[in-house]
Amino acid sequence: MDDQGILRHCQEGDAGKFELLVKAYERELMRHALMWLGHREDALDTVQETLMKAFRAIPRFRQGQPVYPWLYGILRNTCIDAARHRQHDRIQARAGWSDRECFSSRTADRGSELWEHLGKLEAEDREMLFLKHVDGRSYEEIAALLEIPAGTVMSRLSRARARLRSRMGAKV
Amino acid sequence: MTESCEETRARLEAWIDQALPEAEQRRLQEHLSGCAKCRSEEAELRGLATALGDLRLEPESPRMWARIRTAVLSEHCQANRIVPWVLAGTLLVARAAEWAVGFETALLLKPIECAVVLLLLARMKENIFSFAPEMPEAAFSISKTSTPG
Repeated sequence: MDDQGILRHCQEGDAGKFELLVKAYERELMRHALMWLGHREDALDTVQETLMKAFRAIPRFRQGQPVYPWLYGILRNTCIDAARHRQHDRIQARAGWSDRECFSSRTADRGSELWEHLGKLEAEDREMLFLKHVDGRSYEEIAALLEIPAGTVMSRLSRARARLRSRMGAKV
Repeated sequence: MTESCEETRARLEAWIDQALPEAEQRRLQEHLSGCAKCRSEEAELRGLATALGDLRLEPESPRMWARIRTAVLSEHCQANRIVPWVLAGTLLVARAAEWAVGFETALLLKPIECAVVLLLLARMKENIFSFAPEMPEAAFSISKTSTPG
C-alpha cells in the first residue's frame, strides 16, 4: 500500500494504518530532527510530537498531496518551535550540540570534526547541506520540499557550503 | 574557447551536484584540465561533499521506536474512549429534556436524539473493528520493551 493509500484508509476510519506511515518515515524524520536540534532525546521527543500532530491533521490531509513533504513541513515547524523554546528556557543541560555520537562516518575523526562544525552553522544552512549531501536529493526535490524555487536552493546551498568551509578552514 | 576561472567556479558546485548540462560540463572540464587553481577548488568541494555524504545516523534501538509508535497510536485510543461518554451524555440530556419540557414536547426532539446516538454507535463500531486488531502488536511492543535488558 502506498502513502496515499495509507492516509486514505486513515481518513476512512482505519486509523491503525498510520503505524505503516510511522514505520516508513520515522528514521528519516529522526535524522532531520537531530540535524535541527543536535540532541538525541530532544530529537526523539520532536519526532514523537511531529507524528502526533500529523495524526491529528489526517482529516485535513488533501488526497494527492505528497506525503513526505507534508510530514517534513510539520517536523520542520516543530523543530523550530523546540529550538526557540529551548533557547527561551535556557535549558543549559540540553542546549548544546552535544550528541556527536549520534552520527558516524566512514572516516571517524573527520566525521566528528565535521559534526562539531555543523553545530556552529545556522540551522537553515545545516538543513540545506543535509538535504543535498546526506539525503542525496536533487535541487528540484529540495525546492519541492521547502516550497522555494530551485534557484534559491542553489544559492542557499552555495552559501551554506561557503560558511562550512570557512569554519573548517577549507581543510576538507 | 574555454571558460574563465570565475565562470568555472560559478559552475563547479552545480557540476558536483550533478546538475550541470552536458555541454557546459565539457567546457568546464576543458578549463579544469589546464587550471591547477580551479582543480584544487574542485577537490575541496568534492571532499566536503564526500565527508557530508559519509555521515550516517546511528540506529536507534527498536525499543525507542516502539515507545514512539505506542505514544502516537494511543492518541487514537484516547479519542475512542471519549465516544461512550459523549453517548451517555446525549442520552442523559435527552432524558433531562423529557423531564423538563414533558414527554410529548420532547418527542419532537427524538429524531435528533436518534441521529446522534446512531452516529456515535457507528463511530464506536468503526473504531472497534478497524483499530482494535492493531492494538495487540502495540501492547506487545510495550511489554517487550519495558523489560530491562
